[in-house]
Amino acid sequence: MYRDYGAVVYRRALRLLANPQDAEEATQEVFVRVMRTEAGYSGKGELIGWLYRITTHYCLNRIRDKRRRQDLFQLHIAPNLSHSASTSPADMVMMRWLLSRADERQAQAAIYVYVDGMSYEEAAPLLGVSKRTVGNLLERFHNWCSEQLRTASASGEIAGPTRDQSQFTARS
Amino acid sequence: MNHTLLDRLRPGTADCPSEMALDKWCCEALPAAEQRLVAEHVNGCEICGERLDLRRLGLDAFPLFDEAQQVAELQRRLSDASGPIRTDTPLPVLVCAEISQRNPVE
Repeated sequence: MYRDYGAVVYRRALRLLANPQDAEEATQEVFVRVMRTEAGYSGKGELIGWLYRITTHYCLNRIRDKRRRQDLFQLHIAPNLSHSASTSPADMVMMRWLLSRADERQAQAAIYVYVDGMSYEEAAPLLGVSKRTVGNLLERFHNWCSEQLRTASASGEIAGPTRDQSQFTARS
Repeated sequence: MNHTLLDRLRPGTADCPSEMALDKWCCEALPAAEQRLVAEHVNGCEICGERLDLRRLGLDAFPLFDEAQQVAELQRRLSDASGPIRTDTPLPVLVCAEISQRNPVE
C-alpha cells in the first residue's frame, strides 16, 4: 500500500503543509493510522478517499498547531513550473492562515472543495455529511473569511499584496 | 464574482477533475466509465496536461526516496504504539523549491 499510494499522500501533504520534512512526517503518520485502524474498504477508489480524509485531518491539525503557524506562513514550496496548473504560493499562504483560524469542519470542507477542487458530491462522503451540508459549511466559511480578512486588513495584520480585499469578496 | 482567492486555489477549471479524481485516475481506481471520461478530458485539456506533468515530476522523484528505510520506519512505528514520529530521514529534493520571501503575517 505504501509503495502504491505513498506518493499520492506525500504530494498532497506537501501541497498543504509546504514543507518536505512535514510532508514526510505526514506520510508516515497517515500510513501508521491506516495500518492501525484496519478499517475495511472496497477497492482502490475507496482506499484513496480514505487516505485523502486521513491526510486532510492530519495536515489541518498541523496547520492549526499554534507553535508551527509562523513557519507555515513564511515558507511555501511550489513546483518550479510557471503555468496555470500551479497555485500561487501567496494564495496558499493566505489559505493556510485562514485554515489555521477557521472552524474545523468548515476548514475541512474548504480544503476538499477549494484546494482539491472537489464537487460537493465528492466532498460529502469524505466529510460524512450531505451535499447540502457541504454547501452550508462553505457558505459559512466564505462569510467568516470575508470578515476575517476585513478585520485583519484594517488592523494591518495582513501585509503586502494579500492585504487587498478586492481579491476576496463575498459571492452573490 | 471573478478570481476570488478561493476561486484561484481551485486546480483547473470547474470542468476539470478534482485532485482526488485525478489521483484515482492515475492509479486506475475509478470505475471503467469514469476512467474513460477522465481520460477523454485530460487528453483535450491543456491545464490537466500540466497537472499531470506536475504529478509526474513528483511521482518520478519519489523512488529516490529511500523506500526500504521508510517501510522499516513504518513497521517500527506500527510495532510501537507510542513511538514518536522520526524525522531524521533525509529527503531528496522532490520538486524545485520556490521559497516565497513574502511575509504576509506580521
